Amino acid sequence: MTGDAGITPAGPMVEIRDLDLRLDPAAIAAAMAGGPVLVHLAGFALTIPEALVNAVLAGLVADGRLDAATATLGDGTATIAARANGRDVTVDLGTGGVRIGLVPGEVRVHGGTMAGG
Amino acid sequence: MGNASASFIDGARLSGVRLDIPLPGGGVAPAPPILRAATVQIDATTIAATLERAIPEVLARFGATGRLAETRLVDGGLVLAVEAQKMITLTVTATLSVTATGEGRILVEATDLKAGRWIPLNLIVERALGYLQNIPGVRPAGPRAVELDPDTLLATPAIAAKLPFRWATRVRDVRITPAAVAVVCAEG
Repeated sequence: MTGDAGITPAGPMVEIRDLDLRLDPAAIAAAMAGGPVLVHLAGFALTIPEALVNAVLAGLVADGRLDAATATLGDGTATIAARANGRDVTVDLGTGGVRIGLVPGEVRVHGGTMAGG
Repeated sequence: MGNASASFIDGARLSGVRLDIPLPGGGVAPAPPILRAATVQIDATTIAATLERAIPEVLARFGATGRLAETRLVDGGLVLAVEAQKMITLTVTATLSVTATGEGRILVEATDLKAGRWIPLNLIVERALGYLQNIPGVRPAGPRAVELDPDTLLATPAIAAKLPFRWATRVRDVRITPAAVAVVCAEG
């Protein structure tokens, strides 16, 4: 936990940028009084590097679920080239990209060229 | 650096945060997120409330009691009036200038200090500086100034253990207006 501007951990990382948190005066007063803390999340951007996707796939290979797998992320596209049970399989996300939606009780991720709402 | 106060609301705001989250692997415990950049803004009311709580605790370390009689933010710093009792009752008024040093540290300098005419103000300041320099990350930077080093302060075990992140950023700017304090931290 020391101060070190040069911290560079090994392995892929998820990057959160433009995180914006706010505490209104009532929330601050409650927190100072030892009560619960209410933080308003006003915005964020999450970046998942291709290396992380490949690290997850490598885990599936290590577990023996796949013989091999590699993901390639493009501009609104994703291709996973895998080998399972001795057969080559390619999963092409197309040009639809990925969209994330929130509905009561769920996070929904939509992807692919034909992905609907 | 942007205009940190453009969209400021009352209370406190942490914005422009960049966090890197290392991923666990191979049975290794996950490392805490790494804080690369952030801007902290706190409004004048919150600053005053925080100081009202902190001042009696600080005085108690000197075996004194007392309270914050007045506080207000001004451009570039803050004005404090503290009433303290220890054998005698005295009121010390200080105008503190707060600036970023450019090396990631924060310089706090008393630009104006007032107490009763017969109060040994220099002796009080000397004692206060002597106390402060025992705190890791705080060092005297002149007869009425201290420099705060966040790298060292936040690495203090008692503080580091409570931090939900690893500090990997530098204080680049401290902006104080009558309405709010903004501390801008950036990478490298």
